[in-house]
Amino acid sequence: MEHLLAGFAVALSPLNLAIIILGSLAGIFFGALPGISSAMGCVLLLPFVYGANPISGLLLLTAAFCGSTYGGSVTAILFNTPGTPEAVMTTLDGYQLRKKGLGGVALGTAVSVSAIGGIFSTVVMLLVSLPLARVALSFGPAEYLALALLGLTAISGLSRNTVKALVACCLGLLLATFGGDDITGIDRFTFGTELLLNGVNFIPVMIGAFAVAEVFEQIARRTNVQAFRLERIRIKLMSLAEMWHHKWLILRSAVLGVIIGILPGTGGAIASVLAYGEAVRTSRHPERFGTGVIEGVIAPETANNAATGGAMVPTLTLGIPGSGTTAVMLGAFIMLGLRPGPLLIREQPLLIHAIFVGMLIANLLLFWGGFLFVRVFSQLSRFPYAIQAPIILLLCFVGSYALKNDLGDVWIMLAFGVIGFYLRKYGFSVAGLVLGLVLGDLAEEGLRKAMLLSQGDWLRIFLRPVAGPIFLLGVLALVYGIVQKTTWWAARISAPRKSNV
Amino acid sequence: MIGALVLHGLLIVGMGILYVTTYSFPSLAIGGKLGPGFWPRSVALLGIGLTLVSASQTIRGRRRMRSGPDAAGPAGDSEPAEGPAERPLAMGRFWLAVAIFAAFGGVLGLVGFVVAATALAGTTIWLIGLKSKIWSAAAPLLIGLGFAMLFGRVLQVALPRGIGIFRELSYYLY
Repeated sequence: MEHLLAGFAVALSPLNLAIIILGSLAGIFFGALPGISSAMGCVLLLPFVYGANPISGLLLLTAAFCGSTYGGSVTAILFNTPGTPEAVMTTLDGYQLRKKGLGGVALGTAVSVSAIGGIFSTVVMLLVSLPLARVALSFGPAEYLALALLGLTAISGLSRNTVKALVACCLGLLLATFGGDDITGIDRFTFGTELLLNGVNFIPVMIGAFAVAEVFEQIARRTNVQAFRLERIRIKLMSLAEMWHHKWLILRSAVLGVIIGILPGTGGAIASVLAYGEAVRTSRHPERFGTGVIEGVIAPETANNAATGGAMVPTLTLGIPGSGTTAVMLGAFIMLGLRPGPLLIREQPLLIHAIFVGMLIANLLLFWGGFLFVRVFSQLSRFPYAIQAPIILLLCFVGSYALKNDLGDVWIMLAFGVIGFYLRKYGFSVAGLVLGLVLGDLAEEGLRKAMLLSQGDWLRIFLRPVAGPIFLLGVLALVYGIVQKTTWWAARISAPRKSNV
Repeated sequence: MIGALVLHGLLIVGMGILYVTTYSFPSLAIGGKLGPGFWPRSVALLGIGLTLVSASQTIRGRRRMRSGPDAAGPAGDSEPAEGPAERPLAMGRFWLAVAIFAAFGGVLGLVGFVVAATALAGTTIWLIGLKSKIWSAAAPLLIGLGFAMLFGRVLQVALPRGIGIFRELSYYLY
């Protein structure tokens, strides 16, 4: 307790508070710009860390980490262009809400639940970081496979036509196998080109299939050039009553976010995919997801921010980074002469608690910082679409190009802009494609490593104490989804058709 | 319906090619060691099967539509399932937009980011149409320069510089 109070005293000192505010704002700004991921944002701030005192330097990075995870949702909701991979699922319903004139509600909800998710994960970090990190380390390939399959079962709720959604998902799973095989080192589906040697990164695919395809569609639909001129987006935070109404969804997503965040090699993007899937599964109206429902913003935004705290757990307690951003942070620790791990908690309790408190403050600051940046970015949406369109296309270009400074990724993005356009035109789920691509690696690696460990015994994989129940949950969820959809379809076919929503 | 069936056909051919390609990977399955071809082969096979089911759903849905609107299949089977339905898609404009972006990607390495981005913005604004002549002229330049300053100078993204004089000029900007 005394360490916690000392942590508050250090983090709340004028200098450190100013650093947290600046870090948080810089993080939201970086996050909102496609192409500047959380990890890249932290890298851009590293020069300021070098030479600073360790606590201030690390507070800057952790605040930026929290801010950038939220920032990705701003452009996801306003322009259908996720600023960070963590915001990919937010585009599905966030942008639809914006098209319905409810952009302010979506942005306000994203700010509110991001802060809640972040605060929840920080509290979890404060209370049980070390035992949680040990549990995470007991997760083996079978558990990763089970989690990936559980995530993939969300597909049944993502589209009106389950078969088409599954086709899109298979396409995503196949794309995930392109490039060098991690286990044997053999090149797969490279077709003799260097472009595909490292595989297909999901960021250009996601930007192409969502944002570029959307711009192409608006151009093809001859969108009225003055359509958005009078639109004024007023951010509307969630009321306590709304939070209470969605309490179980928020809690489920936050818990899931923390758990996924703790697992090494996962991160906020996978957490948001799984949380969205859970929200679809547990909803009484799964068919409405993707058409602009607020639950579609609440689940991924709570989970991806909860994953920030989760990712810090193994980083600080075991010295194992849970995500790309925490790997950068681990580098910063080493640069400052510190070595994260169980000893650090014992030797530097003030530093650790100051970081925890810093994350708490940074998450609270999201409310204020979110308002500021939403105001700035929403000005863009007041321009005629003729001006918005090239801005969005150039944001998409930078988002894909800046990954590896490689034009090849831009061509992949354009190709998926066209593919995404046609998939949407004929009712295939673009979300299913991205879901398959994001979870494909996790599923394949999990399966092959689990088979290797079980020496080819399939039963041993499915009967593991943690993996078994997750597999069962996945199967039940898939069956339930199909049965529910069949009944809904049956009711729909027999009832007179009113609208497409 | 023809468009939908063509897309189904392309998906089957694409996944079929990937399926056949998997046979060129070593397929070790000794002691539980699954080869690199196992997973993509299984997924491709599943994908082909599902695409065939989806194609048959599309055909059946169309037949039901012909026999009467009340007997129509689920909404997901009809062609324009997603997106606003108020205006039909002008495919010529779509392909022109694709060509403009492809041209942008093609000339980036030659003329650098600022010129290519300005041209992209200018042609996109022309394609969509903007009433204000002043904005039509000023916006492309502002967008090109704004992006170069923000991403090239402030955020240090290594934007393409082009060759020759374009390269020389780019150093003044970012």
